[in-house]
Amino acid sequence: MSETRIASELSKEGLTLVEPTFRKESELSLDQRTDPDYRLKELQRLSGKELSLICSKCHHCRR
Amino acid sequence: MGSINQENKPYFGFQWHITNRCNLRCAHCYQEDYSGSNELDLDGLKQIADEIIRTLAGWRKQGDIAITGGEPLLKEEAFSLIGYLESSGHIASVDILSNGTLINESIVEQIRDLNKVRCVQISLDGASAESNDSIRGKGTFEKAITGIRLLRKSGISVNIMFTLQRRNVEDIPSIIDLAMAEGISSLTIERFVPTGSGAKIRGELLSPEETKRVFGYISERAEQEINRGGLTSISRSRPLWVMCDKSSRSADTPNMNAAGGICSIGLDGLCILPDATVLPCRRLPIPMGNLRKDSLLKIWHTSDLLWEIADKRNLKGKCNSCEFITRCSGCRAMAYACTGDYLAEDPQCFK
Repeated sequence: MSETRIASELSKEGLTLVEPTFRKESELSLDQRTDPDYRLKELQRLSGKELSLICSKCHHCRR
Repeated sequence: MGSINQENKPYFGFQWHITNRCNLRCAHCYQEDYSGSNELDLDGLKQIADEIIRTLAGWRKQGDIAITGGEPLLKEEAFSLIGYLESSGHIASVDILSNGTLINESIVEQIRDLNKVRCVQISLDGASAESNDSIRGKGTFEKAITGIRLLRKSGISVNIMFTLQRRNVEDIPSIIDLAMAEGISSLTIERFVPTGSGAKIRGELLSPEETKRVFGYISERAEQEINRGGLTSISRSRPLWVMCDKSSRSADTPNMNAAGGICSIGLDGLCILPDATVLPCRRLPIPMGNLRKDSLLKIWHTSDLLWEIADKRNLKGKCNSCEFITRCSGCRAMAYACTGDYLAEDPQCFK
């Protein structure tokens, strides 16, 4: 693939020109680094409720 | 653990915009650039597909992929890419999100030849040529209806996407009637988010009170359709809908027909742009990396933005302490488009 020129493309696209930032792996626990559902589980744990999830793509109900 | 798709397997969703070229210029579009520059060729698309499949395999998840654009049917590599995705056991389903105007018998035949296409979503923003075409362009209503009928005739499941604005709010009753009459599987009435080209028409946003009135009407029609065992499902699975669900206001556990759904940012899905830039959601245009140089693992597990948004304790205003947080949490894209703060309360909340 060709070298990407993200900033210029984003500018055309009207996207926010903010450099993405990432957490250092050392700041995250093993579960946070490896479990794709960590945030989802944490939210359920904190709320004590089952989540009603939807997707952000075609907006079908995901239940 | 995690969200479960229709096949009862843990899934992860991708909305993949494979081109930003489009034959339409809809007034409310979240795009501003339609040039097609810096898009991936088939080899590039397959490299991204491989990254998706490899990551899903490591997560022991199935992928639900929505292929869209721009207009995805303008991308000549679209069907080759979908075929490539389908060949992986880690891809559960593919949806095609289209404006419907390019669908002909040849396209329908190509879709029928695919194995994992769950539905084709067609956008309509009015129930008549007059109202739809004032937003989407002259002649688009007839073309989209023709496309819908060709798909339905071939037994392909169709979802209609209707973007709710001030100028088409009066079409709500008739778009529901139309969806039912056309045998549509699912009708999604989505709030207009003033981003991209849509930022120029902010006046189309409904007030919270107007939103409440419209959502209430749609919810009643949705429940009538459920009660009569109708074929058309009217989606109420987005933020704010929970407040229209009389049956579930006091319940913590939603059932299949209950309204309301939490925003999935940081929980179970991502959006990929034509140049491989990754966004949390197409309507929240804050880049989190690019798959040409950042792995999906890196983006999903370490993006600051995802950690910040998915922790609902960070939400502000009404959203922060709301009882419906697990079934709503507001639209972060709407908050960002209207206030510049993606953690702000949902500006259309009518609680």
